[in-house]
Amino acid sequence: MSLDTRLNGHGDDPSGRGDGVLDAADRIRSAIETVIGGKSEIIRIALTVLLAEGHLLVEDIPGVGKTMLAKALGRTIDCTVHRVQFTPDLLPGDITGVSVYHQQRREFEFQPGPVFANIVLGDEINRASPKTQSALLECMEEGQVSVDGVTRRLDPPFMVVATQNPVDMEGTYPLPEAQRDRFMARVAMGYPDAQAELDMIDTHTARSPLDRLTPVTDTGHVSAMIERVRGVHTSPAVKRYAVELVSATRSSPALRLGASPRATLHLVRAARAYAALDGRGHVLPDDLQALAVPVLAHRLLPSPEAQQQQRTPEQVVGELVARLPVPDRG
Amino acid sequence: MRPGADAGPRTLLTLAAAVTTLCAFSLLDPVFSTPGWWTGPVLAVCVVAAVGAAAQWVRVLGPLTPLLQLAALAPAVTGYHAPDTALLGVVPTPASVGRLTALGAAGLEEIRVGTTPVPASPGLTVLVTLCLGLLAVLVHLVAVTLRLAGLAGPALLALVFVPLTVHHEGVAWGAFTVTALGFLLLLGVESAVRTAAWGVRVRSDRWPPRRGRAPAADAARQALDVTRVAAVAVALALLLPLAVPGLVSDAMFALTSGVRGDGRTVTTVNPLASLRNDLTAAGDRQVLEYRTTESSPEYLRTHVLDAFDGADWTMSPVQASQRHRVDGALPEAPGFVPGPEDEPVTTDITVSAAVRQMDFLPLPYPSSGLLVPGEWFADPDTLMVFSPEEEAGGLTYQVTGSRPAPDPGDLAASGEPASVDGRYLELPPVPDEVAALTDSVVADAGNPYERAVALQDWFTGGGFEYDLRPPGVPAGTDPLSYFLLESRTGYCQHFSAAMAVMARYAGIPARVAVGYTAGENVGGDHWVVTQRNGHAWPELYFEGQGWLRFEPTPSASGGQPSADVPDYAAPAREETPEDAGREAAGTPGESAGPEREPEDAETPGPGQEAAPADRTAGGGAGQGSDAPPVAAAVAAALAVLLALPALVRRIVRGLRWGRASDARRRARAAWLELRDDLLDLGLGWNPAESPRAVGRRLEDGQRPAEHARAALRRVVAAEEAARYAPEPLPARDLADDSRAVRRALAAACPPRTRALALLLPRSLFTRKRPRRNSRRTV
Repeated sequence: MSLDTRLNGHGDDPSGRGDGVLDAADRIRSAIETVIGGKSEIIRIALTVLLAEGHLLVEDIPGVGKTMLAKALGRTIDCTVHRVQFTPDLLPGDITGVSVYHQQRREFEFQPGPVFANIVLGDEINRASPKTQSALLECMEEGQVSVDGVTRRLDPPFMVVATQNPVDMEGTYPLPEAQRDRFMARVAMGYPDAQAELDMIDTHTARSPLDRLTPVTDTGHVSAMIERVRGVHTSPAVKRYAVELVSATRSSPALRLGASPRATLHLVRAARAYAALDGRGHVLPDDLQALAVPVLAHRLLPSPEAQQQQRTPEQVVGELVARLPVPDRG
Repeated sequence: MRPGADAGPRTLLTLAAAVTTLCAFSLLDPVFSTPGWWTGPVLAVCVVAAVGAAAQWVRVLGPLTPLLQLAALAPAVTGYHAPDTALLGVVPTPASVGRLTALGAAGLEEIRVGTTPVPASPGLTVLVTLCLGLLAVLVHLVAVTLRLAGLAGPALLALVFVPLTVHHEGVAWGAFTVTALGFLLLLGVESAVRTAAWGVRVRSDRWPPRRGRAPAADAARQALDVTRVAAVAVALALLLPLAVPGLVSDAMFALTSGVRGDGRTVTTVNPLASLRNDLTAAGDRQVLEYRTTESSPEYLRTHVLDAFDGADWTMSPVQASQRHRVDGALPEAPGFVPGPEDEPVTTDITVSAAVRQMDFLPLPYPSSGLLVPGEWFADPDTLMVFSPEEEAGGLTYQVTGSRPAPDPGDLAASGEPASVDGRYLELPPVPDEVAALTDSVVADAGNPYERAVALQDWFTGGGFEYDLRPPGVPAGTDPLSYFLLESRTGYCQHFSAAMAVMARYAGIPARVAVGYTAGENVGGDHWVVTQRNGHAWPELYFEGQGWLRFEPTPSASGGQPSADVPDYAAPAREETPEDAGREAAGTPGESAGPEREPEDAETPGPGQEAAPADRTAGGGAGQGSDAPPVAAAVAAALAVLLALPALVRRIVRGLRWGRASDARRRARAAWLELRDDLLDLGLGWNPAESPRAVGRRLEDGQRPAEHARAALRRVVAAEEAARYAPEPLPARDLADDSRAVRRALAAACPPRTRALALLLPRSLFTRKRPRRNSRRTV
């Protein structure tokens, strides 16, 4: 699904890399690639989600590098990174923080939880109880934490990278649809290819390559990049295409639940970031096509018929993309 | 098997397509000399339309409609043209196929040798039925199946080329109007159906219509659209003739005439036009037969054209007055006094019953007595015999008279003409070069007779070529000087007219006679005159001898075969062998062109259709060069039809680039061209593919050369930027890029695909926009 950049040789891009803002993105990407080989598209989507101010859900069986991806992303940026290992006994307060009575000052003092960070790694999020899950999800949506009637803002950039085991593994509470909807994108790591796995033996057996990772950029740069992404031009035709794509999931007979309007917003925002990463100042339908599966598929529920035919929502979205005419002119 | 949702409107379109095709039939009518050619084609069109309409109601059959129509044409043609050989009268059998093939071959042969107007023989009718049936299928395919009613116009226009190229009178404006109206009807119905397809019209009683959106306004706007097309069509119809030489009348010496009989105006067939029709007729039908006591019969004259207006010889109106009603005797021939030793000649003439619209009797000149049934009138000045009401077809009459046999010496001594009406010398100003030419030809001639002989010899001396299809006269050129000085090619009409003009200029009273040569002797005193014997010749007046016939038209195989030079007009060459042969032409069993003899002998009798297969190429021996036009016209029409899609594709391309004024539009034009090129080359087009994806697919699939690859990327980038970027890319010469891409893509395709893309560009027949259903505009 790699989107090649052969066609961008004309170099008249208003948000090009000339000013070096988006160079940071390249640096992050190459840094992570030293840790996780052969997954450039997934790294790219992770970066897209970061720049689009969304949250990423990484889903796959254990041991394929979900946590590694999340950690590597956190390490390459000079920012606060907290990790929460979700377990069935984790309480909401363990995430958001609690007010503790201060003996000397005779007052309650707020002890911030791990959510107060730029990047929060929620490991195995589906192992926690729904109550705890929803505490995190509220932070994700609002970008703020309310404890004991006091609302505290989280510092931008704020991104949650949650990993999740497939729901049929033992001891899991599957994320409800409403909560999956809050993640901008979901990626599946998949097994590395043979070469990547071979390389991994060399790089990972001695000592964790994560230790070698040093930050290549900082939050200031990331915020600047986010600002730049907001300025990416989205033509009316492309917006219409996004709406048509999302509404096609609602009318598809193969889907029981279509994508929400929030999905439309996420899709367009992600496409802007994706275009910016490609060095473009405007969104193309190609961006939406490339992002349709990661952004939309996890929000959809297949109809019983589709389930019977073993059609996954990913396949259905792929078919919709292949069928929907690209917008012509605004 | 439920009917297609739009079966109703499509049936309407089918009907309109059929009516349009039928309207276009009027274009072909002038090509045929006999009525009734159209019954087969009408049947074919009805069958095609019926099958088309039926197929609309069975959805799955839709795409197969053309095949079904073609399949239905076979029994229709078989049943109509060869029912006796077919199973149950309609089912084709090997015998019926053989029969139709033979008929078609005969028809093709007729097209090859014949000239218009042609009689509707069975062979031709089979061909016409087939061709028009195929045209109906084509129109249906374009207008109904593909919903491109506009493209049906060029297909119908191909029919215009048939009369335009084969018929000397070109396209009748009436037929053109009918065809155009038929086409407009098709466009109108198409437009109405298309509008209706957008949804049910909002009724004004249920929904207060917004201003300007009332159904009436819609209909009015639709009518306006049709009117706009009509206006363009009319403007083209007016402007096109200026640019196309074929639409300008090049009829040299055309004639207009009217016969007035006691206040009754009778329009008569233009003698020269009917002469030409006779000469160029496909079948050499018999006009009349006669028995005569004369060993070398005189020509048979029908009309006399006595006035020259500078371009045309015309006939002064003749009066049908009771005073000159024919009742046994004819008025005296002016200036002719039969000698006492002259023996009156009796000729019994029977005009074939099939002859139509002949209201002037063919008579030898001079004649003194005429026994004819019915009410006929004579013109005392010219001895033309005519009737405002009677027709000569099937008539038998007896004519008597003495023949002048002037001695050349007497003629030479006759002196200047004095006893003749001065109008026979009237002449509008003659072009200087014609005057100079005449002066030089008659320079050595001392008296009128010698001048006349000198003129005749000058024409028959070998400098002229006989051709029933002379080259067209260039615009702005005097037809007379063009014939005399430039082309020197023509037939009897030109020779006689030119000699008559020159004779008048040389001071000899002259007029042009139209009629038939003596024809062919078929044994004893029995002579037969056919259409090919149609002729025109000058009559010159000599004092004491009256009007004498001269013969400037080349005779024998290189001219009018049955023409002969009268003895008195060929004094100098009396002894030549050629002349002896010509003299012998009058005797039984002999004719001027021996090689024509067997063919002429096979001339079919009256009422019998010329059997096409019996006619050999020799039928065109005398008019060899005028035979191919029908075939050439059909070939031209086919070629036009064949080249039409390529032409339309080219026009579309030209319009696209022509309209592309700014960078955005140029990008658009290049992109649409790329799309159409892909469709043409069968490389496929998926509207779900983004420009970039298309570019990638072509680069990977077609592997264009480096420069074409760069051009392709520029086209893609320009379109992408024009569509989705805030500003389009700066304008480049995308037309060159587009061309480079097209060439590279075509080069990567097999030759068959390339040829198909050129001749039948699929982009013209493909619906490019996906149908958007349930889209509502607020």
